[in-house]
Amino acid sequence: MLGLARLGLLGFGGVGPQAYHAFVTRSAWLSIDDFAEGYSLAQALPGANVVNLCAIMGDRWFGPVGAVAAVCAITVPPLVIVLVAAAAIAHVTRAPRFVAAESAIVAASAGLLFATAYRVFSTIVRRRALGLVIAGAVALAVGLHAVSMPVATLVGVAAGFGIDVFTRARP
Amino acid sequence: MNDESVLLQLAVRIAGLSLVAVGGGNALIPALHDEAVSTLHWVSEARFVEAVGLSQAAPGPNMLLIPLIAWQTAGVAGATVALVAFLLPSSTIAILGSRFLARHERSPLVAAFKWALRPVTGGLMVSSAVVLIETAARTWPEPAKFVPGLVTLLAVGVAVASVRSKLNPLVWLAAAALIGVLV
Repeated sequence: MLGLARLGLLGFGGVGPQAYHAFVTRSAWLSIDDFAEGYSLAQALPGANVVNLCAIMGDRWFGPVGAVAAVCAITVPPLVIVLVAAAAIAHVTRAPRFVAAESAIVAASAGLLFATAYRVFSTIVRRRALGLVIAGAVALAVGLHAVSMPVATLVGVAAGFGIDVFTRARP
Repeated sequence: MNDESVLLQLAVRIAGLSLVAVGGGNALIPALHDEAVSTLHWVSEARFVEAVGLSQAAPGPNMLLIPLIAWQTAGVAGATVALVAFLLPSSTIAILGSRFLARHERSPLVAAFKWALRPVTGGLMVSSAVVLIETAARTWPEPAKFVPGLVTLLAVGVAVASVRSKLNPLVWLAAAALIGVLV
């Protein structure tokens, strides 16, 4: 749980890439394959991705109590910090350099997301070409603001599921 | 409105958002803006933008934007209500969904479903990254012609560096912050 609290305190600009580092690279709590599976499920269901992932893993390892503890560990400490920060800056104007650093952090967290997407993709062992086409279509449709994320998720998963089921070699 | 009705409204509306929040905290920003600023007037446009910037730059999941907005609306009680209202429905669904899949692990349909999730996950991550790059370019102070190029270069550089090393991702975020201060 301390590991999760630490994760909550470190995840700037979204916690996905930090979660990968904490769960897979540093602690080996999960294999890269387990991470991709858990995160995929967490992202396809409604709610915050990493919070869902923590709920799923907490439940799997320690049951419902573990799930509640994991969700609290990942959300409460950073919430306290965010509220204290919000109260602190409510009445000051921020220096442009500080804002530029904030923007640069947001850009860098985009880079970390690219890297995590690459790792998730590297866990797809069969039908990679089809997977790449679906991933590209989803990225384009949502990235160009043509389709909302829930719609793209639904259509993308349904398409992949349908194609995989109906084109699988019959025994 | 009195305090209790504000808290009740926060709880009901945010629990509703929780059920449609596919794709994570950042995907939720437009829907939250509709509710919080346009429809229900919890906060002003300026406070909303400030909260978005803060939730991105501060540590923690981006969904903390929701309790942050609720805090601006109704203080610590609002933030607490918002946190529980957002987490309870979605976490319950996640746990039940995960248990269901674990129970039917051997079914070929479940295997196909799990296979279909991964490319979509990768694609959504890429599109979220694109949205973050746009945000970074927009929020950079004194926008100049080179800014979109600079933030894109930063993102691509961090992506390559992160794939090739096992260093803590914070190293790259700190390096980017330094570049932001110096440029």
